[in-house]
Amino acid sequence: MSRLRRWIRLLAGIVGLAAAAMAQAGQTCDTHPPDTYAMTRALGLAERVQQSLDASGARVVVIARAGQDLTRYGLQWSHLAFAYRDDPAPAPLPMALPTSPMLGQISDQPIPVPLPRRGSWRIVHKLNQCGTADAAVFRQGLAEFFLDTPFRYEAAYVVPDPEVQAALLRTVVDDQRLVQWHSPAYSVVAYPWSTRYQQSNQWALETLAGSLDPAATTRERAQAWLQLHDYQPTVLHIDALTRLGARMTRANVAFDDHPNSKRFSDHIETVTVESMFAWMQRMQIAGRPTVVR
Amino acid sequence: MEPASTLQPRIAAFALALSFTAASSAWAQSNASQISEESLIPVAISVALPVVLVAGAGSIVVTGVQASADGVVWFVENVADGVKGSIRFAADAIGATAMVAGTVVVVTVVATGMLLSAAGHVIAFVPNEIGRSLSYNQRVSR
Repeated sequence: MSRLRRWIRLLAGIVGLAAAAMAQAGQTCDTHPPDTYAMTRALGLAERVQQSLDASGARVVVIARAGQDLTRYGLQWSHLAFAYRDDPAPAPLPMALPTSPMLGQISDQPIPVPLPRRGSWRIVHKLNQCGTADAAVFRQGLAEFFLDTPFRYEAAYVVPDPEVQAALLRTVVDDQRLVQWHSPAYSVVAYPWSTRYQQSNQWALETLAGSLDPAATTRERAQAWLQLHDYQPTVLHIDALTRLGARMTRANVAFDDHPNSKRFSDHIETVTVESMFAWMQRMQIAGRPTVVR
Repeated sequence: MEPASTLQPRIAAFALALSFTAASSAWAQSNASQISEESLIPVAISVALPVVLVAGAGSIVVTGVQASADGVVWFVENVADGVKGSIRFAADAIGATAMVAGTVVVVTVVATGMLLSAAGHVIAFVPNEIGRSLSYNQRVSR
């Protein structure tokens, strides 16, 4: 075989490989529904988390799941969300109570006082839509949160201080505020100090910042507030070959928002559960994580 | 919250009708931080099933599927004794209309309701009171 023909065959092979890789880009979601065993475990964990949250006395917490095995990066948890108790509004008192005594009479009927009704726990979080480089904000139940055949059937949450809970609560029940710090463009390793992309944990962090500071009305301002308050992202060491492979085969991975100096030294900074939990403790706005198994 | 939707019981004897308020129309199965529309599992909003199935595990066969603006109904029959029943889903419950008559469905009772599975995979969930409080799905952003 001539040298030219060998080169042509090699080139064709490379093009073919690249085409195959591009065809699979973003198609990494498992579209098969779970089996009975997996779903039973997910429902069981959801119920235990509900009981733990009920016992915590909190109205809103920052919660994490272990959807992926990130232990090679020294991380236990992969995905952040807010969980809040969706208490229904108290029922208004009736205009005229049927048991009201007439003037001068004494009623032996106690006036009914409606007891506050407890709502269900809801999750608000940002999810990447399979097969695309986009993401959206969802409100889900605890069961949906664990229905992903996670790497470990465990959850961790931190209870914010009452003032932080009050600020967060105003956001999590308000659909407009939930998307105020949301950008659809998604990269799983988005740079924390850029607004080109946004990953799920970053949305939670910026939404928390925006909820705490009335002036942080945009993503840029929320990031500035986080820098001012010494949020420290996690540094992942990802070499060039891995970065190239991920970029070619995954639609939801991008590195072009990272500064060149950091990127080319394999120094990838991003928002993780661990970094957010640690920062909240350092700021003394939340306690230690509670783990539910 | 959607309004309660109840199904007229189509079976007389040995049937227990349970009606549920539909808080959600689908389970979202997500991978890590991902969500896939194709992997949503429909959640029943009302059901009329033989009491023997409500109490324990068993199998039913789907004898018909009816879709309308009000929702999707699976007509089912208990494999063991032929007692008929039905399961209703919201009209927008993804996957509910894909059911094919003749499918044999395994019913597994769990603490939060009943799991309906076929060929080893869960195809629907019938929540009880606890399961209903755990289930919700709403896309907030466009």
